[in-house]
Amino acid sequence: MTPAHHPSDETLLLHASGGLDAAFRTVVAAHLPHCPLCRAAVRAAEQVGGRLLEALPAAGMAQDARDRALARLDAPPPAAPPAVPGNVMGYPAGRWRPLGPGIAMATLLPASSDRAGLHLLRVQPGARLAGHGHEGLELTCVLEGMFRDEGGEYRAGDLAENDDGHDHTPVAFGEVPCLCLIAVRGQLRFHHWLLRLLRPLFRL
Amino acid sequence: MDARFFHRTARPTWLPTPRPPPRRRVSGGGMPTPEALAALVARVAGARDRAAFAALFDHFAPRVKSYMQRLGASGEQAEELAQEALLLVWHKAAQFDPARAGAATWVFTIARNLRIDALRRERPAEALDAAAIERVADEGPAADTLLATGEAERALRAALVTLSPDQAELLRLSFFEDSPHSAISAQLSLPLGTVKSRLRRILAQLRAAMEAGR
Repeated sequence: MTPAHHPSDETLLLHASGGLDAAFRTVVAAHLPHCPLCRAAVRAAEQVGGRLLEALPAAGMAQDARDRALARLDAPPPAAPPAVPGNVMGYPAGRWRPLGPGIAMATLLPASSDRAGLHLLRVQPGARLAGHGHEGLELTCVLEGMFRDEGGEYRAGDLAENDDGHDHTPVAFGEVPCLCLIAVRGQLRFHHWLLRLLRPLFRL
Repeated sequence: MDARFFHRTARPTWLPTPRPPPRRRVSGGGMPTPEALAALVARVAGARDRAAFAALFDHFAPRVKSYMQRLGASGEQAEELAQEALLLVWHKAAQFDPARAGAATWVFTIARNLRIDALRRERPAEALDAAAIERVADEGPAADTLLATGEAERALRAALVTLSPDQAELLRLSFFEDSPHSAISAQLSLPLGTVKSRLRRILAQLRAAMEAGR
């Protein structure tokens, strides 16, 4: 079943052009296997990228550039990067931290001044992530379970995109804990006073 | 080639000054067709044909270098990245499927992923996990292709030529500047909402042209 909630066209364009932070890229990549519509949009943008690449002026290269390239063909291929698990679920064991009743969080990529953070959130059915706003862009992809908020109901494969200033109060529902991948630039602002106190401890 | 693609108004001062684009005949003489490029990749994959590789190098390496320079690489870095990109073309040629993507699209994704990887290498050493997590995103299921016939590619070329200079500039900035739409908005003195809606419309127009050409 095609997801009901998708990244914006701007986000998909940035994904195709390589302009998204690693954290945002990872959340979009979690949505794409579920969504032929967004995959087609990404591919169309990549085709535009290919055409624009060909239309670029040819930069001057060293005289022997082609010869050097040919000489490298016989070298062993570049080392393959270490094998990675098929999905992010392989990572956070041992790094779960409680955030409140029925809510736990694991950080996969820490946020910094120049990059968005990537977090896994596990919310028990009925538990509410205390209403929070955030500065800047936030992408959330549901991996398991369901939540609902002001934007509707979100199920596995759905991607919620929220921009600056958007306050929302997601509540998990259904039979199983809701597991979400969240990328956010800037700070999560929690309305609940206790979570605001705790925020620096979790470097959210 | 349409020289309007290369016109700029304001330039960030840290970008190298580009040479003027070479004059080309309007009929496009000298630019290999999508079919020709796909055939070259097939010869590299099947026969390890070095002459075919050299032709691909001559066509793509200088443009990949140009791409990397626009994203902020020095001339030396950009040339090395172009070498690495074409080396990946050599090693991955067997994975290229002409039914799924044009050769230029495929090379663009190789260059794009290489640039992401180069940025990753430049950052101070992080936990192995971080790089591994990112790699999950980058090596995940590839985008589908519904549109990758020669006709669609030609329709795309034709549609790109019909863009106004402003539209072409906006599209180039969104692909070839390492800046979010907010920075483009500042550079072009356009409201952010306008940048986003114009890009959306341009892409919709291009997609419609590719669909019609399928």
